Amino acid sequence: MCAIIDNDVAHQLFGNRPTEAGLYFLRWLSRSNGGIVVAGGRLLRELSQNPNFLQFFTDRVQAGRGRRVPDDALDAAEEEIRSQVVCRSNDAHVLALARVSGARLLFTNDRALQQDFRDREIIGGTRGRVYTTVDRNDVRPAHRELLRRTDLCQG
Amino acid sequence: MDSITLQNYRCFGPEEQTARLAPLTLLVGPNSTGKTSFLALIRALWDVAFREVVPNFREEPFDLGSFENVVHGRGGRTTTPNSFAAGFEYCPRSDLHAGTIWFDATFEDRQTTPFPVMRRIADEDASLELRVREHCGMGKFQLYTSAELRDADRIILPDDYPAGVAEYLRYVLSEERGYMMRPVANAPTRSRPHRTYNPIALEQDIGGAYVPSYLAGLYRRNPDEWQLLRNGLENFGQASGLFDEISVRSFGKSDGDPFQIQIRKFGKRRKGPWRNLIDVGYGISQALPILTELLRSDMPTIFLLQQPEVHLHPQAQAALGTLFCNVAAGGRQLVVETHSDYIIDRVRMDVRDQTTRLKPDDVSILYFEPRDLDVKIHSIRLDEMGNVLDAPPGYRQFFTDEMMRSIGL
Repeated sequence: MCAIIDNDVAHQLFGNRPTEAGLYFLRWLSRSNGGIVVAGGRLLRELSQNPNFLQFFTDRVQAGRGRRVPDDALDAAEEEIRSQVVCRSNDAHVLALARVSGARLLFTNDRALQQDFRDREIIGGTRGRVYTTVDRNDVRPAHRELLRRTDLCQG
Repeated sequence: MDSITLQNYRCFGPEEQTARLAPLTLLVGPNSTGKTSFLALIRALWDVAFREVVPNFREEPFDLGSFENVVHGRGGRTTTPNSFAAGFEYCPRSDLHAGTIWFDATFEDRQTTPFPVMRRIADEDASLELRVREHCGMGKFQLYTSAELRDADRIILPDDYPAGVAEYLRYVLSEERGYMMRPVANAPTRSRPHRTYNPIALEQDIGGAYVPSYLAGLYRRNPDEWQLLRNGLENFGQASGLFDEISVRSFGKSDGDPFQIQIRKFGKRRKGPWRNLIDVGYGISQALPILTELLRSDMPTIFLLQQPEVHLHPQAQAALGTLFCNVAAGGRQLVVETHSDYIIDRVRMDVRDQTTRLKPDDVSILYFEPRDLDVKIHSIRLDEMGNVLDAPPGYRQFFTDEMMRSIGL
């Protein structure tokens, strides 16, 4: 299962005081049978401001559990999204990452982005699923259920 | 060689396994998982296929012992197999044959030595099975007359296939020797440096003891070749941060006169002093034999390297990764046993950034995974972004656990 981490929740995984749900997501990504984290372009540059993320992503790529997506493909997909649909969020770069990588799981607390990510017309193909801590930072059954799924990586 | 197949060999169990080889193949995994045995097998198969001799599994730098040490065994009350099998897939370099040839051999115990009792050479249409009835002393196959060969061997041909083609495959392999010299193998530790060298015979040795004399010989007798090799060494020296210049200090003009190997680094404004090889870090003298052999134009096609990163700083290890890419892109085949993330990462990055002519398919990472008492080989690939593909669960889990602990999670 392929997952995207939005920059707005990076502190919940890689900050000095990670949240319970953030840590749960991170541990899932760190397991050998857990998710594959995808990143690239603007989102990768944003996340890389955090040295812990950098260390984490490097390790995941080395282990074959992280995917770096080419910037030019992301730029083209972002351009396509902007020209084809009207997004509620201003995160076309995240949506482009979903289109190019096939990732259908996003950890974000941005409500507008959540709506866009669930929109088939925007990300193409299968509808995206969202892992969020908007309401509560603890781990809930919905979180566990989501990370048990195996169908959130397209292509 | 494009792939190696093995069964019941060393720590590899009865399940037949195939490992993909590429121009640059990196062998990774914990200690004692058969990486060195894998290198030994490549050389042994080469000897059986191309030289038609009995391979010496005790030849340095891979001394695997006698048959009972080489065949797979799990100890206890389990039965030790009485044979092991191995083979390779090969695309001939000569124009004699288009397409792939498969070669495999079965080894049995003959006077405690693994002896290739059966060899099979095949292409997509024909297969030639050569069985040894008896052998005339160790080190050589029995020589057959044509009639005996037909009697001893099983030649499997489709009805419409021209007769003699399968024997022809054998001829193709023997002719390939002209294109492919015997693989060169390096020991994991190389010879110690000396303050002053007396020239020695230029016979290749696993520790590279001959390399200083080879360099002095070029310096004295072949300035053009020396300059070429020197440029290559200095390019690596600069990229690795080890040295900027290398030279030979000769105490006389004749070939038999003593000499020293010197290097120096450049400062911001001026060049530093020449230093003797023995007076600088051990890494340089340990790397020099490998660098020299990789950069020489007259070396064999296949290199079998064991932990070339030993004693090198990460910057130099990374530079070694770039050198491997360039050498492999130039038509050589490198099979490198390594524990260095810096080498692997540099290869990934060079392939991704196209700073080498090596393509993702030209790199194979073989992960040797311990499974109970046996070992499973996983063939891992790279994509255009340098991403690692087909890694099995558990690959690098130790490193991930360490990383998580390192960032306090």
